[in-house]
Amino acid sequence: MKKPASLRFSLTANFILLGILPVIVIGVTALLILGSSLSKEIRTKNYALARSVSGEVRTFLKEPLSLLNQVDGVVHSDAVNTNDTINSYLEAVLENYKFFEALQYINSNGKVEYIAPRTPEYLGMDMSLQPFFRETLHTSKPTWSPTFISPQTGAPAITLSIASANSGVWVGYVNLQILSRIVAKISGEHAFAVITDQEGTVIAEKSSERVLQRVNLRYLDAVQQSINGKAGTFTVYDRGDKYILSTVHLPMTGWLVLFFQHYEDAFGTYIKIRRILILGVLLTLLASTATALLRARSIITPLDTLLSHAKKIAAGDYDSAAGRQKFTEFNELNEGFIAMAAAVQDREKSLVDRERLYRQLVETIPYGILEVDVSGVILFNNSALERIYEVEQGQLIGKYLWEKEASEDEQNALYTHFQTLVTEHPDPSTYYFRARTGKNRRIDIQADWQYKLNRKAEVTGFIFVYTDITEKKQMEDKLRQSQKMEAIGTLAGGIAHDFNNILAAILGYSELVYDNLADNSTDKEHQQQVLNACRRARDLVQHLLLFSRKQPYEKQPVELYILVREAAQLLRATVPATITFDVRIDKQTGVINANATQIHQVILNICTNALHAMEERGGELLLSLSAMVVEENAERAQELLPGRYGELIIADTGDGMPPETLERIFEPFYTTKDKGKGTGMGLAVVHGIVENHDGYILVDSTPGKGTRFRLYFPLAARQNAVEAVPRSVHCGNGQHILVVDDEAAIVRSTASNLERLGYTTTSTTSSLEALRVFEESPNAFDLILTDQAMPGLTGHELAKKILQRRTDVPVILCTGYSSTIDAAKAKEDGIRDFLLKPVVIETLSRKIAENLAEKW
Amino acid sequence: MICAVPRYRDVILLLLSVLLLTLPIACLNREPVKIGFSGGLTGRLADLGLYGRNGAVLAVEEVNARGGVAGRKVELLIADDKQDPATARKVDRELIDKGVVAIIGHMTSAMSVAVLPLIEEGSVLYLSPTTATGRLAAIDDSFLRTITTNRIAISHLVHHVLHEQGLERIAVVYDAQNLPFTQAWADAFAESAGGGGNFFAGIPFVSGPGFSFAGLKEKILSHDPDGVVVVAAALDAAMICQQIRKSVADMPIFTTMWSMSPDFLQHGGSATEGVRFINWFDPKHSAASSKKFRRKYFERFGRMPTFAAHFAYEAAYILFYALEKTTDPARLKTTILEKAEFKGTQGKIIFDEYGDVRRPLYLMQVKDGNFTRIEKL
Repeated sequence: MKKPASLRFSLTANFILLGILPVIVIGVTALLILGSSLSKEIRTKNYALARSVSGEVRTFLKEPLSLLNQVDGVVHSDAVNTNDTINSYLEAVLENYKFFEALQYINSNGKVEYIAPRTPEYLGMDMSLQPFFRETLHTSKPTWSPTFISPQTGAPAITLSIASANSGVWVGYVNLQILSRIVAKISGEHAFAVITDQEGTVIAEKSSERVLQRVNLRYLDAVQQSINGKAGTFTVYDRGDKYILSTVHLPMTGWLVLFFQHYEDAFGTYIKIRRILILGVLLTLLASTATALLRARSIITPLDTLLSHAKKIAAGDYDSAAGRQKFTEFNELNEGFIAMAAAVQDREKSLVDRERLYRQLVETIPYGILEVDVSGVILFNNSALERIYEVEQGQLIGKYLWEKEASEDEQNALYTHFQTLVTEHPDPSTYYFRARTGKNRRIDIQADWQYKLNRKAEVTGFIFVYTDITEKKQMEDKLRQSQKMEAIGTLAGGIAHDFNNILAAILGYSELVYDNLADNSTDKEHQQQVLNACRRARDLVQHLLLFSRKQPYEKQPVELYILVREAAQLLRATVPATITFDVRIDKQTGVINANATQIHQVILNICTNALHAMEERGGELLLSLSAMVVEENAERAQELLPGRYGELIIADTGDGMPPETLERIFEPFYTTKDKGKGTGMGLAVVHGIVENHDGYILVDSTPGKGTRFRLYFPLAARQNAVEAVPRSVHCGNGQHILVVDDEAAIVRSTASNLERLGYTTTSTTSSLEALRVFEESPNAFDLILTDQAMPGLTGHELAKKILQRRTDVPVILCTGYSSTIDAAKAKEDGIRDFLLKPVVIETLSRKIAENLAEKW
Repeated sequence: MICAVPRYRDVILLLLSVLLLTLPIACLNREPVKIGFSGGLTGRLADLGLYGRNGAVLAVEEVNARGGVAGRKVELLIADDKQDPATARKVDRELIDKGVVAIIGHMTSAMSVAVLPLIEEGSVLYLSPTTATGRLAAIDDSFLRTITTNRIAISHLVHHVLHEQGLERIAVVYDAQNLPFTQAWADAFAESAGGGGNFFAGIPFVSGPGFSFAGLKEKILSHDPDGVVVVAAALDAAMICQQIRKSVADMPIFTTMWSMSPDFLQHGGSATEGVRFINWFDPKHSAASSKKFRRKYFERFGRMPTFAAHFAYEAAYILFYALEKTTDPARLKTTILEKAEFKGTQGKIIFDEYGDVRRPLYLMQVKDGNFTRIEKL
């Protein structure tokens, strides 16, 4: 592109042009007019001088001609007719007329007849080949020869020949020195005349050198032209000098008269005037250049100042302002600049503010924002995106959009999807995909996007907004799970409630039938099985009710640590030696509003499972309790509502569970145990109880490594805390208690606890065995503690049989639920007391103490 | 202030203005190459020098019209040796001092021999168109010539006079002013004629003011020769012919190329009829280059050129060839000899290793007032 012209240069050039143009025009015009008239005048004068020389020469040339004619006349007169007289006459002529150096008479044969000065040896010489002789004889006219070297003198010579009346030829050798004298008269230092012969050879000049050397002047065009008949005035360069040369042709001889005048002399005045004019122009040029520079500067300087301020403004220095300028226009321009700068500054500030705001917005929002070009390369991203992807700042720039996809398939899928956006321009819609973070964590992303368009509405890229929906998805899963549990609970509760009533009728009538059947009859045994089945069904329903939380339980504030410690004590007896039982209880945990029995059951159920899991290989069972506060926005807040919790951790190092099992453990009747070993209700009950206490339960399990249950019970506010029921464990004094329960763990733990309290125990898991033991030595026992629901004999039946044998022995019946036991009938049958399972040791010790006291 | 000092553009503007006005003054001009011409331009023997000068002038004018040599004009400085040895040395020294790189000259053998110290000094190259003396032959010096040495011409003339013409009494009249050239002829006849039993008379002369050609004739005829060999310049030869013919009209006269100019015919008149020459030059040569040169010369000087004009013209062109390659006087000769063969106006000019040339020889005779070629030797 062509570079724009500089104003400074243009102004200066224009000023200079304006300044010198008139001077140059006037100067050149004056020079032309002056030069032309002067030149004409000088040339005319020069030519006049040449003509005057030629006039003199012409006059001079007339004389020798007339003299030769006269000689011819005299020699052929009677007076001069002998050789001697003729020779004397000729000698006299030469003596008187210096323009001839020699005279010859050549006869018609070409032989010299007379000669002066007298040189006899030349007489008789043959001149017939001399051009002047031949021409004169031929034309009978006077002939002037070109220059030649005279054989007599050895100097250049010119001859004038005339035809004699006696048919011979008179030849006069012209004295060229006389010709030279003629031209010498008019020749000075700066102007001189030259005569050439018809060939252009110099024959007369002030200095004789060129005459003697017979220099031919035809090298001058002017001479050549003049010989060709074009005489006039010329400007010539000769021997390094410039001359005005006027030439005149002498027709008589064919000679040229040349008048040279040094050009500088001729045109001296003109040259002086011209020099003055040129000097004037030069000075004017200098002056106008200086003026132009100054004027241009006075205009350019303010402009430059304004320009520099404009540049400063452009560079962001908005406070830059030029001072007052010389010209109004520049001042207005300056004010305009200042106003413009202010406006620009305001606009820029607001732009910067807005930019900062938007940047903050972009950086603040928890959504990942990124900009990609049409090739899918990330050009920009906010810090939220880096947090989502768990990468360092700037690591995403320049990467392809799909590089963070979790798997190759997913990468290809996103790439294909992106290409569709680029090529087909569909309407923006939300897209979901799974990605892998910098810490190799899989996350779920929801991508919303929009086209990035240029002014021509062409797609130049895309803006994506990424939302990390990993937690949301997890929450949804949980919600779905809890909704499922809720539905199952509702279903189970509904069924259990109605089924319980039906079962009560079946059980009641079955017992009636049983009672009326004869002992030892097969029917009675069958009926016994029916009853057993009914009781199992009843237990099951009780569990279902517990799971579905349809069963109301009394709750009161209790120290959580006490409940846990009691459960731990109960458990300790049942933990095999291969398993380390690690109990960590923080007594400062706090108070919860709870049904103590249910909390015991929760712990026992989970621990029982844990012990099962470690049954074969052994391991470590951890039971830990501590307080925990979930703050607002805390990590745990995703799982728990903010608040204070008692955190109960039960962890084993057992077999662990695969995820699919983990998902279903809280479902009723879901069990992985061998058939008959578990009802599938244990954890369902746990779930029901925890929910009933507004608590949370989290499970994580790794197959082969173990399982960890974390239970969170909301702690009651301190000020509302009620002191825990004071512990009043009643100790025994070696009294013998028979402990019966089909659950070996319970038997073991109960017996163990009682022995610690100072009792002696005999324990068995079979009611029939119990009956046999009792019958062997009925008086050995001070108290019978039996479970109700047992295969073989129920607790009630066992009690009745024992009481039949010994009525005074107190029997305490433990049962998981009360509805199937008719308390009144039991009392009637002699059963002293009922205990609701799980039996708390405190309650148990009290009940035992009371009953033993009654006895005594 | 931003423009406290004038910007460079202003300075350029100022300089440009001044330059534009002063440009015609400071016109670029390369120095011309200076060459000299030395020959006798005045006096009785001047015709050789004048014609030679004209030939050189014509060549220089032509080459300058074409732009000069190697882009430089050629400046010809002309000097008149006045046929005087001291003058010759003086004017040549002046030419050398003026910076000529070569001198075309001298035109007579006597003058060339006279400047032998300068030739041996070697500060310029001498290129002589017409110096035929054998004394400068076969010497590796700074001297070249475009004429053949006269030895062959002499032997031809001796042979022609003594054997072909069968003359027995020979008088050789020779100009003592140019002995380096003339002596050889006399010596050759002395050896061949005198030594061969024929009669020989060697008659030297010096013409000048008051010299009597009639007296010279008497001296010649006193030997009663049956043939006269004239070794002299054109005017003197013409006068000698005139005098001899006045006495013995049918005397066989032989002369040299030195005499061969229109002046000889004009001044000798009918006395020159039948005079014979041994010559390297044919004034009516039919070659186009010869005709062209004759025409140009006539246009420029108003008369026809002589052999001297031809040879000087050729010498100048040979020099121009060398000057195109170098202006170092020391290398000019080598440059010419390396090429060795040049085109002359009348055929090839071939230099030998010493700078001597071979040209064809002709036997010429004056017939009806014209030089006529009898045969090519």
